[in-house]
Amino acid sequence: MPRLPTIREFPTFRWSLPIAIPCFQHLVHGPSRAVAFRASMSIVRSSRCGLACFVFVPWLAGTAGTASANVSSSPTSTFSPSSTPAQSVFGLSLFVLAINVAIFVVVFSLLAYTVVKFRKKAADSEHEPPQVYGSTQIELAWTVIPLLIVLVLFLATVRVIAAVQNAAKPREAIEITAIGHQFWWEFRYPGLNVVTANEMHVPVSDPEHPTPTFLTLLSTDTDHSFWVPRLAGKTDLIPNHPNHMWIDPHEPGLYLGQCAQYCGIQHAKMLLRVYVQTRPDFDRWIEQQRQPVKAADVVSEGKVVLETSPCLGCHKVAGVAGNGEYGPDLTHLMSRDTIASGAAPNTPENLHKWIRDPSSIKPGATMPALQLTEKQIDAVVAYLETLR
Amino acid sequence: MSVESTILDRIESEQALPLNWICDWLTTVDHKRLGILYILFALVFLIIGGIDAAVMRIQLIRPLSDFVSPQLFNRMFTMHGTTMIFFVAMPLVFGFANYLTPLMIGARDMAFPRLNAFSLWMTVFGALILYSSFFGGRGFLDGANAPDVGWFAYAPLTARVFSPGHSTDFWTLGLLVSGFGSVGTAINIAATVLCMRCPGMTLGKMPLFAWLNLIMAGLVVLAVSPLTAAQFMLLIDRYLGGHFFDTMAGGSAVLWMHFFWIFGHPEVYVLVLPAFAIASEIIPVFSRKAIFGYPVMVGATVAIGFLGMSVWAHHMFAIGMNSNVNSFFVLTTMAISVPTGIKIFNWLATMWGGQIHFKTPMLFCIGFLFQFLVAGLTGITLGAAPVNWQLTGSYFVVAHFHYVIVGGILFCIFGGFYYWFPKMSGRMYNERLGQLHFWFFLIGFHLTFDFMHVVGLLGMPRRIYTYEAGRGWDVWNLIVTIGVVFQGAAVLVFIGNLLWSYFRGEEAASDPWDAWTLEWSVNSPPPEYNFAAIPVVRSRRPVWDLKHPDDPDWKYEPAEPFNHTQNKSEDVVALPAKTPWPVALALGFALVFAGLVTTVFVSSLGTVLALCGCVGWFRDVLPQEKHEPVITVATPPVTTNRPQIAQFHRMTGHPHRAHLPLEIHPVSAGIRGGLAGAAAMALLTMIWTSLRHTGVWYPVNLLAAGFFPDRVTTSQLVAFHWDALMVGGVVFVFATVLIGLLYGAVLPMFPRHPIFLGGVAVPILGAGLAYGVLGTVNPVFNERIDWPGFVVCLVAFGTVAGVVVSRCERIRTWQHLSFLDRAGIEADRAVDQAGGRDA
Repeated sequence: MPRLPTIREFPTFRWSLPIAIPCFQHLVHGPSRAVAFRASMSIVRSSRCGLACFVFVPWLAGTAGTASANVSSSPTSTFSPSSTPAQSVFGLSLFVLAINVAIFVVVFSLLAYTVVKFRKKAADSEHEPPQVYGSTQIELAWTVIPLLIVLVLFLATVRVIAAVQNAAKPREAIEITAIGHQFWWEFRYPGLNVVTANEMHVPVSDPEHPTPTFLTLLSTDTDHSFWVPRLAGKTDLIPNHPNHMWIDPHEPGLYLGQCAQYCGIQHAKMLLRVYVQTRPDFDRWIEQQRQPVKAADVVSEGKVVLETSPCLGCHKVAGVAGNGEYGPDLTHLMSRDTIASGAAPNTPENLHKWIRDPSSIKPGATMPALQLTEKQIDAVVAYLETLR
Repeated sequence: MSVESTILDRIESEQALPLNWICDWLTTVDHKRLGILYILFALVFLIIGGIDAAVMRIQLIRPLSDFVSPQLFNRMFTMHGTTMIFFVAMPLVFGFANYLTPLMIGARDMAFPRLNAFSLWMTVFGALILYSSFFGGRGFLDGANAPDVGWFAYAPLTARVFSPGHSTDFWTLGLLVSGFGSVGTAINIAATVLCMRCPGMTLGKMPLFAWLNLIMAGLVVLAVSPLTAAQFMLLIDRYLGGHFFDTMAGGSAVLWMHFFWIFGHPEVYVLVLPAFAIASEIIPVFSRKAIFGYPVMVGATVAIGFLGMSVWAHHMFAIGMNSNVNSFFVLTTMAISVPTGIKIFNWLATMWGGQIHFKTPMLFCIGFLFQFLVAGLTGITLGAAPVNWQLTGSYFVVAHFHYVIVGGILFCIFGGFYYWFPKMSGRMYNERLGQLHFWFFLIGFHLTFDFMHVVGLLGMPRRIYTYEAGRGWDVWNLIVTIGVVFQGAAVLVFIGNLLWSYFRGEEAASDPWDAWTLEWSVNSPPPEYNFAAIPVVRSRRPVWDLKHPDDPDWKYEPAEPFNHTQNKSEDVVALPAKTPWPVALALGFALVFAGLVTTVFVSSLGTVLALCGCVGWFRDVLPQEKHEPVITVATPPVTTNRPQIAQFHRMTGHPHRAHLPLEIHPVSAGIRGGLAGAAAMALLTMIWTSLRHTGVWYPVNLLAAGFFPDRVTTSQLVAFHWDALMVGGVVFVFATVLIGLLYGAVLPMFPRHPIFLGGVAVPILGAGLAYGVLGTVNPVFNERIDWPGFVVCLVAFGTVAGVVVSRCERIRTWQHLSFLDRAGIEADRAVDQAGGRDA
């Protein structure tokens, strides 16, 4: 007769203690339960929870399906990466998604099966079901397997963290300092002597000879976050805490993003535009940004208004007296497509509206309404139109 | 004062004048009344918080909407988050804990009844301080002076230069005051559970509800303290010239983040553990089975509590910590999914093999299981830091945490409401309305929060009062907003059900659900003294023992020495007397802090009131605790609303008890199989690599490649390295033995073709899995491994291991013992003749 384990032996971890997953058919042989386990499962029966299961699976599939259908049409989709950091993240997210789907399918199937198979039937009223207290071996099994999954996920994740955060900066990299303000972006190209606002231009990066752009992130006031989903994950701009990130866009085009850390009343309108250009186009843009303002032949009335009202207390126009650094640099204002950090297209009408009263476009923006007369505003706008 | 006159006084006062009724509730120290006050308070703020959310969703239904101003929107999301966490979820959790813990452990009240009252009122007054911010500033409809810094109030946005006026101070002071209340309740819960269990109820025999609330209490004390400290530091920064978080003077914004999140993350475990507690009570009763794996559930919860203190910076992955720090928090965040998953599996196993009754409480718990699974998976996604860099601060995170808090926690709490409503009110709720609530809420919840994930993946950040058209976000925001309608309707149905049932519901028996814990052994609602005689228990399900005297639980649970005698019913019980001093002290404290945003007069009044409260409370307790006597009534026998109850108590034969599994291979078989397979695999590998001219050391070096990442050239991989041989050898033996053990465990499960499965199917599957996984972990593997050879060698391993393992003996487990042997009972053998097979 095989040796039966005694009570005292079992709770200790002895040599003979195995790990197993039980076969439930063997579980109960008492007369009280013999019938129940042979009961056939009627799937078509209108159990409310069975119905629920048949609603949810298509629901989830539908969500996933329609989501993926829309993915390609969104300019800020995290699923259309166009730069190495975004692509590494995307690859990792697909891996995590695959594991998640597998886990979900397994556990959801168990839940659905349980809810359908073990629902109370009329014949059950005479007795309580078998009271199963537990099983060390099963508990071990569903501890060890998740631990292994966690290990694999961790290893995969650490590799991507290192690849993105510890990437070496090549000599050909473009360096940009991005400074966050309430509620606009300042971009300085220290090596190239360019200062601009809200719209960042970078060269496209060829994977064979990469020319990535390395950003140093600073802030003058509150926390902000630089997020252009198709180019990279976000990194915060925290005052007193310089951060670094990099992008190497593979395709020219316009990439959209916006501030992703609540920074105050107009956080929603602190938009980002990144123009990825071919190298010749980029060099041309840099050259144009470095030009000083061309002196106008006629003394501009608008320039006088600019110099005599508080405008230059915050704004700078290279070549004109004044040192304002609180607001965006206006030297090449007309080279930008939008004003107010993306809040409105850069048209004379909008410029007029903005100068008359910034709150009409961006209520709560830190630029005050200077109470200029219509004539003065017209003159200023006309002058600004010359700042290409 | 004679007992009779005291009682007569009480009877007179209870012939309620409305003022007496109000005073009764204001001065009560009875845990049941305080629990109900917590819950009703939370319900009011659930509606208010829901209105905040509805305003936001209407604003976001289309791009560039101007339904509300940016100012009001920002105040709405701040108030919504703060209200829902501090004044809805936490009071609900504390309310249920307060009401049920003494009842479940056989005590007459909490350990510190007056502290209990004080804590409740501190929470209430904290909420009032925060909400008083709506009256002021530029009028109610513009959100007046409500805080607009977000519920986590990142510095330096909260500095006076960026948040002038007092709106931030209302946030700080309101939470400061209610934080003291939270800590008071936590201390009370811990003391009650640790010290006031009835005789026979060891820690290993108390309901899981009590365990989970105990650990929750520990987390509250650990977590609320840093938040309170940070709030004091913020006040010092704003008013006393401090620069803790003042970045313009060398302070650190990141410091606030650490302080806040070391509160913020354990806080979500504070919210979820009591939800787990509710599920752990409801699921067994409605599956008609004991909870599966009680000790593991306790262990997993302790693990969650411990690990939960180590994950906080996963809220800060994007702030620029270095890669080592980020990796650490990835590890802890992913690790915490293991005990949580264990709990989900245990609940599933509880339902497995049971008889599931789909009443409203169980419907909500099943919804909880599904939604918590999804929430956990999106949490894993967010725990992978690089993915977090894309998704943090976006609507994906918002969807994730609402899935946890609404889909997980609130669903459980709704389940708990329905489950204990009969006990608390003495009436049954309307089952039809309950189911309607469930389905409406389920539809609304999924409409809103499923599709919210999508819009986050499409790049929409959170906390924006409007968004540009053309980003692909429009249709998703529309669907998300529509869900709100269903959720609102569901909550209205819920409130309606509560009200209708309270006044018109069928009267509830003491045990309407045929459940097994002590609260069901007393009347519905329980008398003020809970138990006429303090119960004596012997197992985890004392009421099961009462109902099944011939088949009690204690025969099957770990034996404990038991020499308690039953207590006699007491005629008059002395309970702590009603007292106004806790609420006076709470009001005094609250006014002291409120004076910081109003006038010093308010603070002075508060100080005076607080001093009076202290003195009064002191005199309530010393030199002798003030009691009031309560006459007991004889406890009627336990009755239930379940119609078929009669049959259950006539047990014929012995119901089956089980510890799984049935038959397995011992560990030695697994090790032998693993080593044999390893030998075969090594031999075949040597032959194969010699034939392929890659050299014998190539596979050894590949095995060890993870540890020597610099050895990537072919010449290096072909050469012999001592260290690679050592490391590779260890890895090889470890892996083969592990898989051998797995075979030992799994093969008996397959009645047919175990060797084909073990020898061919599993290696091929394993190779496929390895290809996918190794490629992501380190691409070098995929390029370098000779896959055909690898698969052939794996097949060799699998076949040999499978054969060796299958030929070993199988051993039988507890299943085959008679229950008398298992229980160690010396009994008349005539009772059980069946020997190995249980009847």
